[in-house]
Amino acid sequence: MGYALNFNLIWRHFDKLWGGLLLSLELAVISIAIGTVIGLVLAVWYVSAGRTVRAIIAAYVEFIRNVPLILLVYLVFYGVPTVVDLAYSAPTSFVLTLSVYSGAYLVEVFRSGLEAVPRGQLDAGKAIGLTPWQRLLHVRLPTMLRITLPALSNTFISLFKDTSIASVISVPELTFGAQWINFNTFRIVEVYLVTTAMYLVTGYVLLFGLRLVERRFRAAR
Amino acid sequence: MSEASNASPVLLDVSGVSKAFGAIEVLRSVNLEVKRGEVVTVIGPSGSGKTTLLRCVNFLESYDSGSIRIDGKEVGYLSAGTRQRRGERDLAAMRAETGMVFQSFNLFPHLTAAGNIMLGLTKVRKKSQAEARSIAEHWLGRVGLAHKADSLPAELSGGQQQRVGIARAVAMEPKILLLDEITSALDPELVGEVLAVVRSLAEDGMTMLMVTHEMAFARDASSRIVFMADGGVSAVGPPKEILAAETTNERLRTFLARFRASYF
Repeated sequence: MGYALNFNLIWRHFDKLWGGLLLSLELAVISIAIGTVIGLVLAVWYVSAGRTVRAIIAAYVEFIRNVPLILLVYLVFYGVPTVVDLAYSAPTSFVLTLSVYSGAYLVEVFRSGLEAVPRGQLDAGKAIGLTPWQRLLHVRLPTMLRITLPALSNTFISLFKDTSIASVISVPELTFGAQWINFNTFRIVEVYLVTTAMYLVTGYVLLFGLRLVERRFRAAR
Repeated sequence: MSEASNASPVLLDVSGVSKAFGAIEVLRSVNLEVKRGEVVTVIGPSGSGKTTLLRCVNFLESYDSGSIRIDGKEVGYLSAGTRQRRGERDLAAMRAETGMVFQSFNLFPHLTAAGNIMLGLTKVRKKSQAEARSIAEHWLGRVGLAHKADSLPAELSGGQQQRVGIARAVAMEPKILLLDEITSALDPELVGEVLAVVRSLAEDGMTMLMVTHEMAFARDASSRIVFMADGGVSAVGPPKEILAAETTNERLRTFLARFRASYF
């Protein structure tokens, strides 16, 4: 029982954690933004498309959902450049991977939301003479958003935590920073306690912000 | 289309319309005419095709054969002969000429009462926000909800939501208003306020085709009543004739008897 907590070394290298957290957030925001576009476009396409397109989109979703993210990260970072003549940095590679990964999850969130929009609302949109595009924009998407916001928040938080996987290809985000400090100071308990707290607080702040958005949308006009 | 058609007293002309959902024939060669300014009520047992007929009139449902014309213009198809479906923009423009009020209100939940009315006015009729707003306020006033313009549907009672639904439909100045069992989802004490609005629209000369189970209202407000059974029109006539207890139409007599038994 000789282990005495000593946080001094952690604070001395705190810039590694703080800089890591900022990079984690950056990776998450960019990937989620791209993933949201992928998810929205494919979900809208899915609900209005024929069997072939649906099968292709479903295959993409199933593939991504059944392969561990860490494997995809290795595949894109080490695998792809050896086959095709492409060079990209580790952060770019990770953003690419997480975008495609989050896209698959978000297709599912948006698709189920679009399908949950009551048919009566679409009928009402038709009845006042809205074109299909106008019905999508002014009736279906706003209702879908209200339906999916809670699920969307959960997916976003989950994707933020997934940025920790970037550490396996040496992207200096929060988890990588923690590993670096651990290797250099051996204060394993302290560094992971602090890192956990940082993920926890960031996650809560994100969730709080998203809940505010949800509430706004529920009352919005 | 042609201005000449406006002279015709017949606004809605349904002729020989049939429709099947798989093996089930829901409409069997239905014929029906609604003249300008008329209020025609469709009654009949459930499953007789009343709602389907109404939904065919603004092409929320397609039909298999026959022809539906509003103001001389073929609904849904380019012509009755070719059965070539109209394009989506064409269909949208056509639907804007018919108003529809639904059993379950179907208000847009993210828009206020005024917003629900303004959507079609701004996006379809291309009116400015200010103009649309003032039209919306006018119609909300007509249905007694001027003070609820900025309320969301969730903040309104069923009767209030349905009155917004009516205002949303008539604000588009449709040629004909379709009312699909608009009081069936309401608590009994809220039915009256909705029917009062319909009655005042009828007095304004609005052409209406409605499906209802409110027999007393059908009797008082209709120019004619259509009795449907098994997907076809079984009887048509003035309310007094159709709702008479001594009718010789056996199906109608059974329907009315069952109705009286359950309501009185």
